Amino acid sequence: MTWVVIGAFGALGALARYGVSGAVQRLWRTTFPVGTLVVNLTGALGAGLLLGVAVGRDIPDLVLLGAGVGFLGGYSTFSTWMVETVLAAESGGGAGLRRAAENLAIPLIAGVALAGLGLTIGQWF
Amino acid sequence: MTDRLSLSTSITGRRRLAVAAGGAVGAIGRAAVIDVVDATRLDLLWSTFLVNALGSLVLGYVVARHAGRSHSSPFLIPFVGVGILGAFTTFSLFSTEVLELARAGDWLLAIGYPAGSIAVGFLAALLGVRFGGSK
Repeated sequence: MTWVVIGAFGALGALARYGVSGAVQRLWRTTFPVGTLVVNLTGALGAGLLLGVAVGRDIPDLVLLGAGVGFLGGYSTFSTWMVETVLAAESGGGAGLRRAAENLAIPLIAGVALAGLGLTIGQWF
Repeated sequence: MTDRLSLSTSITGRRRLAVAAGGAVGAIGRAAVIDVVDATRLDLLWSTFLVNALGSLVLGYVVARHAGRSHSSPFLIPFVGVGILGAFTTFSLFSTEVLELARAGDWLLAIGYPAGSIAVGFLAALLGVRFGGSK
């Protein structure tokens, strides 16, 4: 049962990522991988929220597994972030390396900050 | 009704289906790694570290070998790249783990864990891209 729930919510998460990152990348005409950035930052915010809401509450394991491990895990992505950074680094010279460094630092710092914000907001509920 | 049918059989619809199917496989695969790491009583940080490094390596290979190549199926990148490997790896859990380490005042790991994950993930993706790009 657990596996079915994780699989189903993982499918939904991946589908949501495909839709959101494609739409953001089309709207924001830039070579910076902003689609993956928006997906990962909203995923980090969502994970913080879930964690905050779960503190001191008796939320069923299946709900946490479905929403956290399934949906948010399937929605956010680490591998795409890394491969896009490698492609930026290989796009040429100092400018490419600078873009790769930006693409590592911005999501990392903003992701942890947004997870913290989500945790704080989640605990109000 | 015919509109709905034609939508689900269009290339876009079938790509979405491939992403969703891959997403289920990737998420279940990640859950399996969590179970295995949990059974070995290692810290669960290792499961996130492991899926992220492994997923970055394979995605690098798949993208370099198949993205935009006419000899590859148009569903290979949506299914394996976006679906399986995208869902197998995770950024949301990674972020909350770093946050929790910082909140616990475990500064060594709060800095070492993300630094190690990113260094290894980047090198793994680079290795994959090099392998996949070579003839």
